[in-house]
Amino acid sequence: MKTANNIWLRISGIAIITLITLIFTMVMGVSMGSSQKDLYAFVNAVRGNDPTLLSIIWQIRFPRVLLAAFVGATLSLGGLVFQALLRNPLAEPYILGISGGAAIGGIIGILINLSRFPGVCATAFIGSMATLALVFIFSSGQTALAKDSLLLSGVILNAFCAAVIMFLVSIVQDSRLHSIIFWLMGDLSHTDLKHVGYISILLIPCFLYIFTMSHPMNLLLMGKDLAHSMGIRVKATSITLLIVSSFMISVTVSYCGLIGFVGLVMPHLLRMLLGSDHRILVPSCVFAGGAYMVLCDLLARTLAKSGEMSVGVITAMIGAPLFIYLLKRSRT
Amino acid sequence: MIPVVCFENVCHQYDKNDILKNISFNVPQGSFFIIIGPNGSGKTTLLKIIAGLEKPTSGTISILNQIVNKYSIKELAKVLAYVPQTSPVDFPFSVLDIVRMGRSPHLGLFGDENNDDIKIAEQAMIFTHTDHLANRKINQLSGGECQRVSIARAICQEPQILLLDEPTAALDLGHQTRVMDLMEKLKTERGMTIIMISHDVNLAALYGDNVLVLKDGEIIAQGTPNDVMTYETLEAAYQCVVLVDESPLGKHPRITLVPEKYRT
Repeated sequence: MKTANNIWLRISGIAIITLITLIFTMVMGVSMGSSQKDLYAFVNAVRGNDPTLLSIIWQIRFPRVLLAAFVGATLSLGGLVFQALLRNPLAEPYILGISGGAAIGGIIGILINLSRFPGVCATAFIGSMATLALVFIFSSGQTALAKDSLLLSGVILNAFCAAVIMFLVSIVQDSRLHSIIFWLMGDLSHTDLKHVGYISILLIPCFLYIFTMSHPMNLLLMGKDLAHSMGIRVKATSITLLIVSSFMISVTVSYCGLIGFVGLVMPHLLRMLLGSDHRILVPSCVFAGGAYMVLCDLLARTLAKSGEMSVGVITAMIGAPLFIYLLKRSRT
Repeated sequence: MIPVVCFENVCHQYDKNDILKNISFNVPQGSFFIIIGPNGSGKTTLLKIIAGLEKPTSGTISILNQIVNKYSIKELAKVLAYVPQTSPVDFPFSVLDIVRMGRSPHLGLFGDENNDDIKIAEQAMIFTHTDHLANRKINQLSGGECQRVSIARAICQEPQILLLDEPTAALDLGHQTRVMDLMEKLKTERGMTIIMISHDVNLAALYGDNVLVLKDGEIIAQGTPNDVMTYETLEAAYQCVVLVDESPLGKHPRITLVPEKYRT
């Protein structure tokens, strides 16, 4: 039993490894794009020989890569939190309808011509909170956090949200239709450093808060009675975590639309590699989830011959088979 | 004897049904206190009320001479540990991780342990014969192993009072006696008060210092096994025919079920 007493050592070790991975993928992310794919041109630009490419790198690719990192981190962390709270490795804000609710709020925000920040962010947050409240009302009865009923009512609400989204899309007749549809599929293309700044101000405190709750999340996995008997205020902790993670999800949805499967794949992969301790999983989800999204976005930008694909398509096309593979492996 | 748990006129309702009706009793310090009674008699609710997991509709409960509402959740977790009937965990925690979680009430927000905490966890595992399982995953263990890990986690909490909800229900004969012997050892060696729900009246008769019989939310008998485990009480509680004589080990009552074919 020599793994003693060095939890901080393990946390920082794994955080550093995943952070280096993130930085590496971010460098890759800025080095390639739809207009230029060879690394030699990138090196040339960095040396100062190609001012046009350099300005593309700094003003277009860099904010976009940063945004991708934040979105990936948020979605992975959101998945991790929901899985812990529902004690179900298949839970995810996406499946529970929280993202769908945020998307409905976001579309309404766009339709009444609000600005992305703070207007659409706020309507998206209201949408996600409304779905969260509905999920609770539907699943309540005896216990507010009964795990299966919560997941089931979430799945039903998600289907309902999808229908409402389709309805809203179908009544839009003007030029906004295309941008709404592209946004819904998961779109990282419209951004600049100012917006990434807003996002980081909103998201980083959420990440830190969730990190401080990482040990209580371990205890919550033991079930609410046991967590309570080990000194955790189960209801207060669960509800704050749900609200904080719904908030971060709505921020990302309002900027980038619906990007699925990241919240399932990353926590699963990391749990298989690193075990179930959330004190380690929370920081590694932030960094590795960010790295994964930066890579997916890089693929979205460079795979198509002309133009680019939506990153939501890439995450789903990689995520779904990868997730099935992980599930298959973890059963044996 | 000083009471460690004291119930005064405790009532509990759920959906307008009376689960517990005017319950009053004391649990003496350092005793092995066993609650028996038929299904649905309110045993688990009673245990959950002691653990602070359910709030009674009325009445007062004191633990270690202090009203239970005055404890913070964390303070209560330092004096009282709870082992539920089953505690399935879908996540692949190692046995060592689970046992160490028991230290949480004594630790800070991040649960980082010092060497003493780790020593306590190791001792709890040796005590419950789970030390060889330390690196196994909790979701790969047998029922008996899980139950012992759950008990090790509770011991790691270093409580003065240990609450167990039918810890022997899913275990074979050998494991049943081992778990009960373990409880006896915790009582005599560490002075812990053990409060346990049991369906096995013979185990209750062999190990219990005090037995409380619950039926339809009311106490129908309370006292030493010899006082309580009589033909009349058991028949009234369980609505079945039993024979009660003395165990060949002496001093303990022995209860034998009488099947219908032997009744005259």
